[in-house]
Amino acid sequence: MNHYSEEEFYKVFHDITDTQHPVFDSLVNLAQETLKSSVKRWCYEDSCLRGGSYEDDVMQEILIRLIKNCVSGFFMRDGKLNNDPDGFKNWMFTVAKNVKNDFAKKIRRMQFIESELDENLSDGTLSPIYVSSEAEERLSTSFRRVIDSDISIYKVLTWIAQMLIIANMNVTKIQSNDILVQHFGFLTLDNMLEMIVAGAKDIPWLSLSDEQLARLRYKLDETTADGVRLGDKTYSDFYMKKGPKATVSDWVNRINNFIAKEDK
Amino acid sequence: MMHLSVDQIIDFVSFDSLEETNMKLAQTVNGHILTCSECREKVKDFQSVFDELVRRNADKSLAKMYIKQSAKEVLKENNASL
Repeated sequence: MNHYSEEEFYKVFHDITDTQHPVFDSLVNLAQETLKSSVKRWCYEDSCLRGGSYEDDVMQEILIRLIKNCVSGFFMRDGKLNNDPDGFKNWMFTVAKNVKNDFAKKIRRMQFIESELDENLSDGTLSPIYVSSEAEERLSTSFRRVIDSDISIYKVLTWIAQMLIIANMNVTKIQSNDILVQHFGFLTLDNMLEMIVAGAKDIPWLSLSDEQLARLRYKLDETTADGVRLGDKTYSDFYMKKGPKATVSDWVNRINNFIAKEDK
Repeated sequence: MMHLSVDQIIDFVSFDSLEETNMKLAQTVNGHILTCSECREKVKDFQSVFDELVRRNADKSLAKMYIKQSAKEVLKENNASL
């Protein structure tokens, strides 16, 4: 079924436009029934989604987007209540198609990264992300050494952030430099640590103990020559003249050299 | 009229599951923006920025962090200029 009755539409309309207690069950049911066969067909027609059993994921994303946008994007789009059943159907299909397109782009990007990862692994330029227990122990030791060292806090955070990006996002070291600069450049060191702690908690060899965390926070409380607390400084304040990516790469290499020396 | 907080709006535009807490937040936000045009516009703006960030890098938690940090900076600047 891809058509609903006016009665069904008005049920959704009344449920959503109840300012005291809006509910979304009727919207979810109507959307699922109306869009199910189209989502299935779209997934089949898209070469990167075909055969991947993505229908449920796409539908879930559609429902989330409909719930988020139903008031601002349809029912109150022009500042007054809109109760046009056909308009709602068109709007719902537009949202659904956009979600499917975004989803397909995301899958394409992941497939591209995976193929690049395979290439890098086969020519030996990248270490595997999910590591053996032996490697995990080695990484854990290196991690502890870096945290316990006297290396500048912004370099330590850079190193951990890069590990985190590589582990979480399945990207190469070079790609991780780009991502690091793009996403951390504007953050304060305090925020950067906060993000790292949140992201690292599920990676055994990257998770921080309370003691290590306290040590990092202690370093962030130190003040610089200009009297500003380190944790309040923005990450990009520390870039060298050679530019953000070269700086990040330089810091990570220094730490890796430090680890290599310690290993000897 | 009480308005939505920036944190509420950011949590709303960035939630990514249909779990109960998110649905409660959706009730609060959608219920409010039915009658508050100011917050409705804010929600629209935050939503389009968040969607664009996700479209570009596909990582929702980073996009959320970015948007929170930017909002904080803007609020800090606004307070400083008052």
